[in-house]
Amino acid sequence: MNLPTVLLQVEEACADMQVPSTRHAGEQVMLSFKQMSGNLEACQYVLVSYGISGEGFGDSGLRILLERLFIKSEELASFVYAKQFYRMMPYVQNQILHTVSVMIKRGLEDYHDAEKHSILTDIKSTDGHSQLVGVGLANALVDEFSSTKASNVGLPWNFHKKCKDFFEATYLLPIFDHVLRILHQRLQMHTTNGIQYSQPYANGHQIGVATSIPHHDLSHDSLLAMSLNLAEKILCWDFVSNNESLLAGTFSKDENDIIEDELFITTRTREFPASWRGHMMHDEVLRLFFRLYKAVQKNEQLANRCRQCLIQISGLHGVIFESEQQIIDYVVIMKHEILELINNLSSNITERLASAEYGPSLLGISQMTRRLLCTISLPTLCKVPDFSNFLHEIAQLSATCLRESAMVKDGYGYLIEDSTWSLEAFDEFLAVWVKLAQDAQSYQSLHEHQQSPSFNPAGFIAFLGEASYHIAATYIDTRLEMARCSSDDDEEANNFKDWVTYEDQLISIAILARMVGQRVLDKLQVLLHERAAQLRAFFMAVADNSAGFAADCTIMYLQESIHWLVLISAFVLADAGEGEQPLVPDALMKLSISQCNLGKNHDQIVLLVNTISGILDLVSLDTSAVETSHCSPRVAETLFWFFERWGKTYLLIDESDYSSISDNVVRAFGKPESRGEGQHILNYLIGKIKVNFILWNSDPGPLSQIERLLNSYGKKTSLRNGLLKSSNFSDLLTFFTGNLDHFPQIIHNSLIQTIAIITSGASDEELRHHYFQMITGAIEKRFLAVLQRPDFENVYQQADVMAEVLNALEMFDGLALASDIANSELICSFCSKYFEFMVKLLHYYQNCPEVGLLVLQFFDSFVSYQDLGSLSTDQAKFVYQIIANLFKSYASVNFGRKRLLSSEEAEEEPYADISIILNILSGLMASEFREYLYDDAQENKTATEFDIPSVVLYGVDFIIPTINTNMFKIPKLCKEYMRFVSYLVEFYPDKLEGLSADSQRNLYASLELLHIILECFLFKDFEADLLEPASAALVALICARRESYNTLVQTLISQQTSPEIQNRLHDAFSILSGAIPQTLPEVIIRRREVSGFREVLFRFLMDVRGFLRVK
Amino acid sequence: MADEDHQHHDFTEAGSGASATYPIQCSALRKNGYVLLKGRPCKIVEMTTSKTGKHGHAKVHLVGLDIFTGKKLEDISPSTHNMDVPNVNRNEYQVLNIDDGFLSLMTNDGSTKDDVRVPEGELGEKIQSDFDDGKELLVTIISAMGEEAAISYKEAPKS
Repeated sequence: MNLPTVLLQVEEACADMQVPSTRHAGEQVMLSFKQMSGNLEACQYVLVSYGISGEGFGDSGLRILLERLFIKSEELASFVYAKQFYRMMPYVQNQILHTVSVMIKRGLEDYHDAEKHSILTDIKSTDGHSQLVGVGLANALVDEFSSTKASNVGLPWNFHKKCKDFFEATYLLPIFDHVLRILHQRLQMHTTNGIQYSQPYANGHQIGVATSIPHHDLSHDSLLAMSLNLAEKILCWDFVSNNESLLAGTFSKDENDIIEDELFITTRTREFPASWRGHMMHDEVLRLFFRLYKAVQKNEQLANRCRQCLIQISGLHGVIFESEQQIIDYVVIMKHEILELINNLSSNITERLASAEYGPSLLGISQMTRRLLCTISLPTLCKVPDFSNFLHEIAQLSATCLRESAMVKDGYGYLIEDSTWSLEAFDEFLAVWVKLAQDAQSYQSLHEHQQSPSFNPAGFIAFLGEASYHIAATYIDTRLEMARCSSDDDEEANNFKDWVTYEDQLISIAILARMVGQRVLDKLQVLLHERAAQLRAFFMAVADNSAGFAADCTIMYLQESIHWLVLISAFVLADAGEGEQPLVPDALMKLSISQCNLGKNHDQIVLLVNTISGILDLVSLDTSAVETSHCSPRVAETLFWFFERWGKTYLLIDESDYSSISDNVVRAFGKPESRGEGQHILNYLIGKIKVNFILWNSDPGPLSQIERLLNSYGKKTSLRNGLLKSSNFSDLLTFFTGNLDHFPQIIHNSLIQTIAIITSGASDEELRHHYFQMITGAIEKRFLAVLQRPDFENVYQQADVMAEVLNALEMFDGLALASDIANSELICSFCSKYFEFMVKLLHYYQNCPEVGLLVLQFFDSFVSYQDLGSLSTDQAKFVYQIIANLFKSYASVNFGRKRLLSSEEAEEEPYADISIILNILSGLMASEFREYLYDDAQENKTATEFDIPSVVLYGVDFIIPTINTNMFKIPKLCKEYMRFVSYLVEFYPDKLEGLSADSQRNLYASLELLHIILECFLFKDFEADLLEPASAALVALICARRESYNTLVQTLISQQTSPEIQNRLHDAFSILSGAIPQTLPEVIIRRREVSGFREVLFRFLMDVRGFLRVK
Repeated sequence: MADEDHQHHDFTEAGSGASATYPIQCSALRKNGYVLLKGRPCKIVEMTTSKTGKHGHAKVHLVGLDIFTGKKLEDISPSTHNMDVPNVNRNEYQVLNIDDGFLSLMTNDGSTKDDVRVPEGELGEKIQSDFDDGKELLVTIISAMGEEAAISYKEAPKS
């Protein structure tokens, strides 16, 4: 055989195979080559020639070459250990190793034990070049057998899982042992001075060309680099035993998409099986990584790898420990080593921030600490000798991180580019402190109740208090320091409020602050008081127009620092309490009780709230005041946000929520019946709300926040009644309804909604009517004032007249949004008086689509929020009739019109009208379904001319022909349409025949959905959370289209190649089909039983996905 | 509220006696409404509020399409400042004839109106071809600040 000729032929064949037209010919050449006797030698020759030159094939060519040339993995395996391999280009080597690992995995089931064993023996080779190849191959194998990096080989999920189990049980630990041994050797070599070793060494990036290089040149030690890489992979291995709950057939996300996994790793490390104990729980093993870390510090890449290993071994937990003593011994070592890392950080701050390693190593330390202290239980930690000393160091470092994060300039005035490392490290440390504080407190309460007598955390809590104050106080100082540096030039980076952006951080700080409430409240009080005085002085100077009042940057700093201090105060004083009544934090209640003898005016909580009210007074200015140009809308917003959060907890506080309550809190903020002054505070706030609404009438920020405050208060019975009892509340309502047009459009509907909810929720019947009529009266007056103008027909298009019409429609919409069970009747009877007017408006304004949209919007809100089931028959009939008329009018006025600016071009909401009409229809259907929930007996309700089905079907017939495929490119519209279709099929399967031919054709085209859902279930990545909604859609669709379901099932079964799988699939589908309700009309009633179907579906998926899903 | 004498204006020629523009605080403008941007009457397609610096006062960023040319215009203004809103009228007329690039329209009082051009581009082509097919067409003419243009049309409902 003439080898160079063969090479030439193979090269040509490979090139041919990459071009579609010549692919077949190329493959034939390769095939004949494969069948040649003695081709192994030729293969190697080809590979080596290519591998050394790196030219001729390209990446895909190489893959083809490897797959076509070598039939058996052991041929290729023996080749990689041969001498020529080392001369190849590194990426060719990697590609070859990767192919070997894929071949081993694919052939695993056919191997004899001896063959399986020999793979391991090869890997563990200690001899020269082979050692490098061994580690390289081990790297490739760990990837290939892992759940995250396995290649797509077109085999079912079951196969991948079996391989992973086998690898984990047989190869993983021996490989780990082997890599530890290598790491140990490398470390010795690098730390022993002056010894030039004759081990095979890497030249540049290439495996295996022995040259002598100085021992300290780490960057050229590729054996070390590869071994560290391997160690990291093994330490991050996702052990099978921990993953049993996953839906069968769920492949892990590929590496481009493992952000979530990384987040997982940052909080919790992998749990190692007990069999690893003897290999991991060894002083030498743990220390090895720390020593290596020190040795490789100067090399960024190696240091980073090593750091990841350290982070993993810092979070050991679970069965790997045999006894508590073993855990303590482990913590002792880790604590010692981490302290040493801390000591090695440079003490010079300038030097620190200038060094590229500082940030990553600081963050590394914080991550190790967090894993160590958050995985091991507090009683065990407290038994560790010198533990408090360790915590003391951590507290110091936490504060240092904070201070550094605020530094924009270093000691020489140079800008520091990246202080985010420090802030990130601080967040890690903060998590540690919060965990310790919460654990200590829960152990304390256990101890107080004698449930855990053996562990008394009292001493620890005292210590923790010191650390907590140190951190909380430094946090406050740091925020103020940052406020000083912020400049007025920069636009706000995003639209998120600070209380959202920094919520996690602030909640953590609040937990620490409450441990030392007295000191932190004192600090906040002093700082706020000081700033209030400065602000007052500044405003006075402005008002007096006295020369040289402080510069802009001063007021900027004042405002920003007030913003932060108020923000921190709110988090310390109260929790957000989403969905539940937030209570006064325990620690603060105790603090206030302890201050009862001082009287309420000296209670720290009361003092702080008074100081903040004082600031609100100061900035609630009349628009005519000159100082207003220096007022900050952001500060106003933050203040009202404070009162929203604080008020939900403290205002008109209910004593019955607490086992013990502070008198001061009751007196200062409580109900009038308890001799509290809460009602005065409400009156005060209502007054401030009006002043600020006038002051900020053009700024949606503060206005929306005030609206949110009213909304929050309105949801709580005591506060709602308190508002309604306030003497100045009706004045506020008159102000709102009379001036709505002056406020930004964005708050129109929600403001009316909020005040309607508050007033219609009054416990007192008379009060409710009084207030409700105030609002509806105002709406009515404004609406009629325009509509009943004698010259309306002439002026209806005038800008001011149209604005009035739009305002009135928005008020109606707000009212419709406020509907709930309590006020349905009230709102419906008011709105229905104007239904006909609104339909008429459609005709008047047929050339002004913006009016039509608002009319549709009103009906959409009305249908979605009204409890249509509770209306009287006449009322309901009237509503349905009006909606039918609405559709008719809208269609006659708008459809078939061709526009200069088509709806598609509308930038934000294309086809807004279609979208709203779909919503109205879906809302109508859903409302009928709700009725069934309340009362199954209504099924025999007789159909009338205007019932929901007739209106819906009427709507369907006119909306469906207007839908075109372009609209489905808009996600929102597509979703709405799908919802509409699935409701339609689910609720009215029997009525579909009555639709026009056009509608039917369109509708059935959309039912392709069934196919898509089934495919998704069986073959695609699938979030387990979607199972519930998807199963509901599936059962409805199967019911509606049983025949096409059967056809689909048959197709799916026949697509399977193996008879065994066909049988399994057939059986599985039989069970699934058995769980589907037989008759259609019962579906609605039986909907509650769909959960039964869901369980069957889940078992079905567990059964079949394992062999259907392929990677 | 404008209460000028409206003389003999009938339904379809509504509001032509009102002033050309009407001032409104910038923050109270609405999306899909009209505003004068750089002196041109525009339909507002985007309206966002921003701030200069953390404690600055609100400013409104407006993006509008010229109602006659379709050209995109933008402006930014303090939210407290007044902006001019044009009085815009949109009326429907029956198409009697199309002659030399102009529409011949029938007004409500029975007279004809021949001064509006057939719009350029696709809309104009469609009007022409539908008219040539003998369809009875209703076009909507938008007018503001002394300018007029056809913006949409539909087939007259068959009675």
